[in-house]
Amino acid sequence: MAPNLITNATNNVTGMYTLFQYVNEVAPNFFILVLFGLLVILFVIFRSRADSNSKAFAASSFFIMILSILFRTMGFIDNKWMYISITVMAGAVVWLHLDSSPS
Amino acid sequence: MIARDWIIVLVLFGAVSGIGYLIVVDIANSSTGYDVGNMTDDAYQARYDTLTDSSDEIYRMQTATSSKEGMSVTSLFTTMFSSTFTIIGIVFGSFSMATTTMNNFGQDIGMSAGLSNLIFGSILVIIIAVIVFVVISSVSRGRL
Repeated sequence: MAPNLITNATNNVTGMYTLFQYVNEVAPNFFILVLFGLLVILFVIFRSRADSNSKAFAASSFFIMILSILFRTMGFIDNKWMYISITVMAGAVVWLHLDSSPS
Repeated sequence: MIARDWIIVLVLFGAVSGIGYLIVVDIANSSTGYDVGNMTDDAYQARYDTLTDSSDEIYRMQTATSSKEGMSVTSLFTTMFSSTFTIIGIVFGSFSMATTTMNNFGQDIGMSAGLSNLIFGSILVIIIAVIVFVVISSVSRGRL
């Protein structure tokens, strides 16, 4: 039998989704930190493979944008963080263009 | 950064923001998506949609460059380059045909009309901006 938890989001944890719901309730804004941390980690990983900061940032912000939309769909983050990630992605594309165009 | 890059990045910023917003709208859709309420924000478009405004500016530049007034700026060279201007006129005239063809192509491969308009529209606007700036740069003898 699944353990009962003191939470309004779900009565008990039966899988990953309900576990995340529980985490989001006991630690609000946890998934915003997850997104920001993943952005930094992915940027560092991609930076070691790509030959410029703009390429690495564009790739990492794209993954973060997709992940933030999924998190919002599941109700883990607010609307504004999703829209911030979309805007950051658009800014990363602008940086990528400026970085690759001849000055 | 030269002037054409500034125009192009405005279009790119608007296009990527628009694609992101389309993803959100599609996921929040009640019939085809996950039916998540209160996920879309209409004010977002008003704040970050640079594509519509910059497209209008670029189309205005295209009209001004290809019009008789635009060509008369180089009145000294008009006789020498009259065939060049004819070619430029043909190129600018072909954009409307290219827009229709590109949009139809996008819808034929299964894209929605909104996404097709956004992607191919922005590509076309960027091409127009580059060509307009090439024309202006050739006339003004400087790379803009």
